[in-house]
Amino acid sequence: MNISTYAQEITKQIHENPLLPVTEFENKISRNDFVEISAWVLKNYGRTTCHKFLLKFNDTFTNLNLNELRKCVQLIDNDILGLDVLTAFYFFFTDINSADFFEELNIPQKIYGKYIGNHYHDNPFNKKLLESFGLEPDTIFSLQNVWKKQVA
Amino acid sequence: MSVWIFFRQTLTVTDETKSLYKLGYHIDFEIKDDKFIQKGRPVDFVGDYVILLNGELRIGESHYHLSEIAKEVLSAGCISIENGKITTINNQSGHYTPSRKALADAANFFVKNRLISDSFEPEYITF
Repeated sequence: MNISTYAQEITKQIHENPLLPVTEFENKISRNDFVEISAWVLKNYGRTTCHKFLLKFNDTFTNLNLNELRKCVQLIDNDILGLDVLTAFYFFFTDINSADFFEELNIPQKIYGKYIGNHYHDNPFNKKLLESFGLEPDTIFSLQNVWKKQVA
Repeated sequence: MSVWIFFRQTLTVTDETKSLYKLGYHIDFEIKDDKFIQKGRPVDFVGDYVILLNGELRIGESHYHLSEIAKEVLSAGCISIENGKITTINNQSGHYTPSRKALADAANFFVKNRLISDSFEPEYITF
């Protein structure tokens, strides 16, 4: 599979038709492919495109285990904006905000430390982003809780 | 009227991020009757914006892509547009890192140009 081509096809679809389901993509790719595609998107696209991608694939993404997430971080390869965007996704759209989690993923304190202690869930732009995908904040939180239980 | 009167400072790409080009998308639009219009219809959009030094407003995704890797811009951030009017903006741009003052200038610019909705809400974000 050509990861970059696939990643660009997916982001193009999300950009042009945000409400169109991505199940066709999800059915075609393995978990490992998904990790590589996510890393490629995080490394090569801007913040908004990345957050749209992660929200669109929220079910698959929030079900990745720690090893898969570590691999994703490793593939981002110290691109500070990519790591920042990934960190922001957790603070903006999930209830995961502990330093321990980001340390586990090998994300530098310099990046996650900026977000700790701030509240982003009532942010008007993030709410609009969720609305544009027909998502409710609770949808993401409940998926996140499932993921936490699996880790435990 | 020059757009420069609205902006007290320019935004410069950070040394840390200037080599990090990001892919993105742009949206073609026109301003008609104080509304963002695309293909004859009011725009509904959630994404990014930049205002170049020549005053040109661009919307799409990825600030560095929209600015064509400009070292300096007048303004950058995220924007939500509903039915052709801006409902919210913020200061999120990893490349240009706008200050609180820069966000206020951008809000003033959009207000004075009558592009905002009744519920317009600018918000400063720590990131």
